[in-house]
Amino acid sequence: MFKRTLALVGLVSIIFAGGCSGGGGGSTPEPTVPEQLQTAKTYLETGDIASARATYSAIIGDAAATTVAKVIKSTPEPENAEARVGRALCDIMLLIEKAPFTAILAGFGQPAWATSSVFGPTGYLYLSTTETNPDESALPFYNARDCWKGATGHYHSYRCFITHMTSGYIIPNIAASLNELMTSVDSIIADLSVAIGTAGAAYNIPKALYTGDADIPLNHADMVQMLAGMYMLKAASDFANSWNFNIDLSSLVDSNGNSLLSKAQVVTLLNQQFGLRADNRLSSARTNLQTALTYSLASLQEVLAGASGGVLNLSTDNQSIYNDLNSLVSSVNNSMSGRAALEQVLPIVEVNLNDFFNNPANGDAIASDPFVYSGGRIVAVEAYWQQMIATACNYTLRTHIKMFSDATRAIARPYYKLFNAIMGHKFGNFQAGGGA
Amino acid sequence: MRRRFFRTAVFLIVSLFFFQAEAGPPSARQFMNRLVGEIRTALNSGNAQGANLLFAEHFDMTAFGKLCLEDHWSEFSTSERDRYVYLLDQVIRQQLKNKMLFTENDRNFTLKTDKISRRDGFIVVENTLGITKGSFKLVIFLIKDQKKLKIADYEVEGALLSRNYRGHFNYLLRKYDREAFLQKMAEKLNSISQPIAQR
Repeated sequence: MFKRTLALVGLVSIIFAGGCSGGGGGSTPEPTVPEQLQTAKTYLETGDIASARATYSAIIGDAAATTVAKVIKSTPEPENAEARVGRALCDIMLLIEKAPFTAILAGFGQPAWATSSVFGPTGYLYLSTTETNPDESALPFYNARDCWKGATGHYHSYRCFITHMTSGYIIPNIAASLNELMTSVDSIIADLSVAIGTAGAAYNIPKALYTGDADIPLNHADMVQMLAGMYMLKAASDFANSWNFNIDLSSLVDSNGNSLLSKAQVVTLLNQQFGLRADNRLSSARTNLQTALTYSLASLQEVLAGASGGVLNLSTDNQSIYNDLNSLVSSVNNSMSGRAALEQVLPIVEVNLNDFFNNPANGDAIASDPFVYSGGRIVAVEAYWQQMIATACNYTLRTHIKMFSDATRAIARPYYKLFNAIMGHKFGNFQAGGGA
Repeated sequence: MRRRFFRTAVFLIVSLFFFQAEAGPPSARQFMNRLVGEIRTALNSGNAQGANLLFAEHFDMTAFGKLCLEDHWSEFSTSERDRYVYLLDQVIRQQLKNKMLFTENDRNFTLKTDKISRRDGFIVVENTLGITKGSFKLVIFLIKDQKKLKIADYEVEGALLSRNYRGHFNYLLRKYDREAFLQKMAEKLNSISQPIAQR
């Protein structure tokens, strides 16, 4: 399980990681832009993400560039797409070192995390190719390893994440840190927004960064989709900061992953949640979600129009999935301004995010508990949840089983085929789509 | 000879198994047949409200009320329980009359019993109900009351009636004391009460 977590970390980082292949660092007094771009990639290949970022900043012309003395350049190029994407990718990787992220880790009882524990010559991805049992101690949740393994070989799975919580750490604390982290996401958005202004923008993520067997090429459609992802992240942070969920996570399980509360007690806790916060961020969520959907659609349409050479590529075995995804995103996007039938789900379910944002669900205003404890299980009260999403869609008790089974099928579709271009790539000792 | 004996034994065992699986408790099947007959009669005479109210007529309201108040039943005195069951009965009748399954267009409804089993003290009758609104999975939970079968609860498309009342009642009893809770039920009854058509 721990290795799977690492693989996930590696993959996520790799998808967003930036850099390019190349040789040594430029050391001439006034290097050209291509030389500086090469220098940045060299830094990336060695896992020095902070220096790569500073080099890209120098090309763009930001003050931060002065921290890298060798790459000062007299004429900055603020519109340089490769530098913008490169810096955005560096910033994505560096998110794990930001103070709000460190605060979240501390809440989970974990030490601060550094990119060097994943990338570069001492990083886990490299070590996974050279050692049978590479050192995992610098990775988050290492102290939960006993829980992953289980004293009797029994796995507690997701519970292991909360085995070392700081007492009193509640979900609004996470939401608040996420909100702070969005300042860093804003600068990523700013860079990607400039980058996509160049129609033929392209970037090659160097395989040395993640000890892979092939570079990852990014094209314009990929960058637009990444931008959509950043806005989606902001919307998610806004949603997390909109409803009450004040549960002390340390009260749920012990250090071995065993439950500290009975299911009946968990029901009591859950039934106090889901009230709409007075300081909710749904107005911001609406804007960010709308922007995310717009960019996502633009990217999908680029791919469907035949964009090639990136991670998102059309092929005979994924064309129908791209078409379906495009329809689904399109219908959700249309629902931002009114009622729209949700594609891929039968019987027809109409979504209305416009109404949802105009009349947001408030659990405190519903005269029912959301859950009951029944037959040893925590069971949702349908009437409560129907009312919670009543403004968002025309879900009824009549349709819910069919709707959820269809939705499950839609989720279970082979979406990995959208990423055919990188399926089979190696990231350290891990293979995309194939495990270790 | 030995092979023929073996075949016969297998046939008997399999036949016995299927006979038991198909038949189920005969009284539950009879109950369902009678209920369907009564609903059909009501619908054929143009009385859709009456058809819906048949569910209430066949309810064991004390058993249902106890399920709805499972988390608080022991806190209620006998007289409070009696008041509660009476009010619940009246509310359910109004709700069924207005919001249940059948309309006057459902004279040709179908109700196919798919499975009968026993679970948690109930006889669980799983049916497929075909009405103009569509095809529904309707599960009826029966209990024996003085040698008669009565409905203790039912579930439409996975939504259990008692669970939804229970969620509502738990909320109210966290907010109000028992007396205020019963008062709220009485107010609710007054707000939804309309004359109920004769079957």
